[in-house]
Amino acid sequence: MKLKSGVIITEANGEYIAIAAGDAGKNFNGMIKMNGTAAFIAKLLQTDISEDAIVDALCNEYEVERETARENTIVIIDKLSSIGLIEK
Amino acid sequence: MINEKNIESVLAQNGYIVAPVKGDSMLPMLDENQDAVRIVPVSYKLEKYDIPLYRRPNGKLVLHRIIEVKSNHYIICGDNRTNLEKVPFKWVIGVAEGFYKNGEYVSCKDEKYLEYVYEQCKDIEGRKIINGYVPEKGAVPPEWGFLIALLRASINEKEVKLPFPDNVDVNKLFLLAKRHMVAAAVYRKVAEVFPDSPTLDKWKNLSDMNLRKAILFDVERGAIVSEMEKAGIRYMFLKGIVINEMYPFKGMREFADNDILYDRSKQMELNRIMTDREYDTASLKGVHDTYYREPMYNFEMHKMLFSPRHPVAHEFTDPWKNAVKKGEFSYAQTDEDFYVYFIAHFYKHYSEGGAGLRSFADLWLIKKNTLDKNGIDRKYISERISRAGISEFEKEVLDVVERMFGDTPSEISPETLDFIMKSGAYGTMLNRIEKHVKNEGKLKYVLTRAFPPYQTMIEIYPSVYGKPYLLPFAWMLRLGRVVFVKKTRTNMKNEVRILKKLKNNTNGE
Repeated sequence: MKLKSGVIITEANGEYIAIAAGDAGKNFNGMIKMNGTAAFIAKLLQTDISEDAIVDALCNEYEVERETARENTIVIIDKLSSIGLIEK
Repeated sequence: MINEKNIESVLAQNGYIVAPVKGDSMLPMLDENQDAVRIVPVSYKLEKYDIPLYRRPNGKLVLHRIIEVKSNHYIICGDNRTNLEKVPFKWVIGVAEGFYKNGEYVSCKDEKYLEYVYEQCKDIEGRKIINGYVPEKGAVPPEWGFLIALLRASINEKEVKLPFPDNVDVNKLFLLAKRHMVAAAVYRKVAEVFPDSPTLDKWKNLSDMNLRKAILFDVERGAIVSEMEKAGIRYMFLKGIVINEMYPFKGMREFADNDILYDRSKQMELNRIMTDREYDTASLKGVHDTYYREPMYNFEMHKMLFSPRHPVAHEFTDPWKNAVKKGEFSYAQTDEDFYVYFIAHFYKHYSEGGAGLRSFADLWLIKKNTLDKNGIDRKYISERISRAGISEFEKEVLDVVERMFGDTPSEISPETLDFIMKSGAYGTMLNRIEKHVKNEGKLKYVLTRAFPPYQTMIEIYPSVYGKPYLLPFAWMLRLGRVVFVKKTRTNMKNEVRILKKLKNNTNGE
């Protein structure tokens, strides 16, 4: 799975932000502010990646239990999917 | 849940909707802070003074009042507007049956409501528009001074000085800030000072959307200049693109478009790039080419900095002369030239139709980042400003921004404050026409507008250049736009309305 083409993950004013342009922008014309972990996951989703690979990357980047990493991953993926930004 | 996209289907399914009001175009009847409207579907011809809900071809929903009924369209106007709109029957999706005012339901058949309607519609041109300021002649609304104080604190990143007037209406403040395109700039300070205001939600929304717009423009601009570089087209960022970076936070400065100077010999190559990127070419004539793409991308690609007929143009004939090379095809103005160009551009707006608070905030930040910098060549700046004939103007506006935003704020003259605060971000048609009529008289103004001189027509129709015998044909073509192009016709009607109200100048014609 990955983010749809046109989704932009960027940093502004000390916050991480996700917005959508192009075709992705037709489903979502708002803005999401994210914490560092969510932004880390979102950036991984800019290329095609599996849930397990995201969990592995989280565990490597942060000192976190695998179960916690998976829970975080699912929450973020569900949120991005709910606003139509994930291409499966 | 109702949203703007599914209103037609909800109406068809439920037989009615009750929707909150957005915007100020139906004030005083409908206030977006507290009122809602009950809409029912419609399949019959409506009557004068009905309030249809209609969807424009661009998708926008509008709720305004019918002023006249024609054979296949309505003439429509908001209660807080004076410009008329032609709305075909097929755009209409519903009609207001009643509305909730301060929580109480009022039917559109109610006698008191009908009295309001007749009163509101008896003189549309003479309407007083409610936009958050000037409730009484001669009175200075508390919102004016407080908005300037908020802006001062915002762009200087300082505390808002208290005490402040306790009769500030936050919603009026919001409308005023929007008019001057500084609402995003002051949002953070507003949130500190009025944390419990019900207006804060929509203020935050505006601020967030402006940040989103700034990011989207950054990405799109990057893609466009990348293509320009591949095509070997040199370019230079102008005005707002540079000024945006001077504000303390990204997204603080509201803007409508991006301005980029480019090598005019490559116009066709640039047009191909923009067309391939699915932009509509709004214009290739005049000082800049205008490109637009939904939902909001508006790029003005400049071939020159000023029209040759502009009084300051002689000082800006070669914009590339001192340009600093940033990359193989990328250039930037020097700090000195950026400042001089801004002052000249500011002069153009201020003298034509006025300029609002955003321009003054821009000037303050530009001054801090150029004129006040160590090592800046003030002699060079002074000479250029003098040659452009705008030394007095520069002195005047620098004095105003010092009074507005300096360490020790002081009073601005009532006439200047009035002119600035009534201007809004881009000045007004009224200011512009008033100035010309005062200088030239009504007759000359009308004749010049109907039959512009050769120098002006070169800009509008470049093929006239060197062939003044083509002028009469160009005039006819231009007048034809009034007949066949709706926007031109509407602008002309608005000008005529203003002219009718203005007295002739004392030197009179």
